[in-house]
Amino acid sequence: MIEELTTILEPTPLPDFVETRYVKDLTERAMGYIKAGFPVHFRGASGTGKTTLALHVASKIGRPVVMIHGDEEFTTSNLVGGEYGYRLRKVIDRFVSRVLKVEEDMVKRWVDNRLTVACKYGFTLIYDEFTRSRPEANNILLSILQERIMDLPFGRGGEETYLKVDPNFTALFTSNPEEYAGVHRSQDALRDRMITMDLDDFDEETEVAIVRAKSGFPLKEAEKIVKVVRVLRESGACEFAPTVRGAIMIAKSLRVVNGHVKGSSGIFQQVCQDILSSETSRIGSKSNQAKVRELVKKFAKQYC
Amino acid sequence: MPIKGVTDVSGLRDIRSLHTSGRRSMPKVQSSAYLDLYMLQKAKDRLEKEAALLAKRNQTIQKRLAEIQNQMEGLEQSARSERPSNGGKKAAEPNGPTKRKWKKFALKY
Ligand SMILES: Nc1ncnc2c1ncn2[C@@H]1O[C@H](COP(=O)(O)OP(=O)(O)OP(=O)(O)O)[C@@H](O)[C@H]1O
Ligand SMILES: [Mg+2]
Repeated sequence: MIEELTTILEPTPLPDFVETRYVKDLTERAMGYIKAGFPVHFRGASGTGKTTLALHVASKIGRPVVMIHGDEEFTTSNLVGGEYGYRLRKVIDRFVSRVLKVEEDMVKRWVDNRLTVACKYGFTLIYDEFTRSRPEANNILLSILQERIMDLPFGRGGEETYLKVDPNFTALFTSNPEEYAGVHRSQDALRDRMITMDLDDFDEETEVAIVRAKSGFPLKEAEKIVKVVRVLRESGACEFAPTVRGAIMIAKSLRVVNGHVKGSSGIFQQVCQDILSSETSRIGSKSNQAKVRELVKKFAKQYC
Repeated sequence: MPIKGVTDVSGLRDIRSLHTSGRRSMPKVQSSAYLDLYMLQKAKDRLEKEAALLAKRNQTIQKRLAEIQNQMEGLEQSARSERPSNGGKKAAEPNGPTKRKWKKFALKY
């Protein structure tokens, strides 16, 4: 019944997935560490392609994939498996005592969760945004990654309390840098057991390729959009620097309304304003937003 | 040795009564043979009917028992292979006896 509750994933690239030198290089490095037997951790700001890269690496590994998303509410039993219902046994004993005796015999039954399934069958685990879970919840991973033993919390109906981790088991982690809201400092012991690869924003070539692939715009147009986003990013004026997602959004939105990538076009300016000046502020500080608006207008005119 | 249950203990139905032993409080008379015959025929009819009912009931019970046995064998097998103590070993040999069908989901990225 364990497995009936777990769905395994088969990651496959979409036609608009691009494999530039930058992506290839990262993938190969990660695959090297995995072959050496180490879990890999992609760390980087939002929109740097961590999740996508993890899926790509997982599909290269070629084993079935289970995915967990970090969550404040997670406890170890969420990761490992929880008690799932109980059996009710009624003993009706009228013959001897002439009293209706009802005995509730709670037999705790275990339902393994994704982590257990991955360890048991040697699947690839993607733990996305793992630092969003409370550190205690992740303690279970310490022995899994080091001793390759999974500690099953208290006896499952008298069964063994250890599970040997299958040799094919691989773990991929992603996280945002620690200054992000809602992120816990990852435990040092856990981070010490994995190889952390810090991801920066994509290089220009990759960003252009992604925008092209996702929107269908020709190279020249994609380059212009990416340019505006990158210049704004580097200006340092934004509370949150715009990511490749902003560039994708501009390109896709423009396609829908048949707009042109032209600084003089009202539609283009409007789309850039909507997407870039609100995406980059959290609460919308009025004075800063005005500044960003001016910059967006200027860059859109200058580069398009 | 199994513990004795309700069905193993002799109960009221097992006591031989005046009726079942054919005794009477009244002295026997010649002409009562017809009456005896009549009474016994009645009892015979009743018991035959009961026996037929029980046979039918027994049939259903046996059928159900066979079904249950079948189901239990299947479940015991999957329960055994589900246990983590075995799972660790079996998972190491992907083509081992536990080949399961997983629910699969294509994740496009
Ligand atoms: N190689 C690629 N080819 C095409 N699109 C890509 C590629 N890598 C990333 N993307 C796109 O870039 C965007 C951001 O990627 P992703 O979601 O992986 O970032 P992330 O680092 O996980 O962000 P977050 O921290 O916000 O979760 C997505 O729209 C994704 O589809
Ligand atoms: Mg992500």
